[in-house]
Amino acid sequence: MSSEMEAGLSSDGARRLDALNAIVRLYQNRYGELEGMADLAKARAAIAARHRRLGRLAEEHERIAKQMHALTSEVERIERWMEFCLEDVVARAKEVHAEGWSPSPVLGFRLWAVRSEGLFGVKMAWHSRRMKATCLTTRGGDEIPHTDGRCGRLGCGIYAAKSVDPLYREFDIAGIGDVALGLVALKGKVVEHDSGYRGAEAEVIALAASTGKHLLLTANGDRIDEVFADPTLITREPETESERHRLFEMETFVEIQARRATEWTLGTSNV
Amino acid sequence: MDIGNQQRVIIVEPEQVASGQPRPVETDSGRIHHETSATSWPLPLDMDQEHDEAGSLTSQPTL
Repeated sequence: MSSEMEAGLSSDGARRLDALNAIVRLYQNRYGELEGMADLAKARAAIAARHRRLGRLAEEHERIAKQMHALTSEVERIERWMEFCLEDVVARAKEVHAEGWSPSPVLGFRLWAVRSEGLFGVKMAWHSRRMKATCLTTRGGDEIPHTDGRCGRLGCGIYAAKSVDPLYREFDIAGIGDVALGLVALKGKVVEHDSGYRGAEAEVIALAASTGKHLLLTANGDRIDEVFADPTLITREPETESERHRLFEMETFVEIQARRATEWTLGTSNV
Repeated sequence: MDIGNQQRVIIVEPEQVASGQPRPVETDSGRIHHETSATSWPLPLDMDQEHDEAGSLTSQPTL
């Protein structure tokens, strides 16, 4: 490749320059010293200087390209490291806060007051066996039940007790009148407390409900939904001997259902 | 209803069983798995190495 082509001339231009240079050499041979050769020498020197500079720039370009490649590789490696760091932050948070996960629902017990228009929890009426928690304090929908104290020490979520006895004592079950006791399966984010849980989602999987002397015991999902939709259905159930007997039967029923659910979940069987 | 002090968070996600998670351990209230913290990886390179605004290294990169 001729120097003219390297400098950027088209192949036609380079051919013309080569041809003219050949003619000038011919005339030098023919006539010796020629006029205008000083300007020609200046032009040749200027072109040579620029070729030297182009060479240096090409070397610099190659060095920069190598450096860019190295930096890109380093960014990729740092990003892989960062991915580990992100996972590590989450793992450490889980460990520090003793977070666990469970493939099976967390079971707990709840009470509702039975009225003809519905089954009422402490905060609101339930109209089906399933309930999803909302935060009544912050009205926010993220990370419910809250665990950072933004909605109080006990906070939001669907409450369930670990055992029935404390429920009976705290709510003065004998004086509450018509009442329903349920076994609930908590799912999603569940916050464990000393004696109970707060869950993001709950499903009633067993229900013992009384109206007057009537007592309904069921672990059938459809039947539970029917009772939540129309609590007067309880009055169609048989009557029991006494309130004390009724409360005992309710407690026994949901506790048996809880044991069955746990045995099933853990893959053990009495059969 | 006072259920006492907050102890821990449990994430109930049945689908995690199928996604290659370690087998959960059993507790009083079912199977609950506790994550263990990952072991530390060595730093892959000198991340504290400074670069000027033009992006060139003030010293040679660790390759």
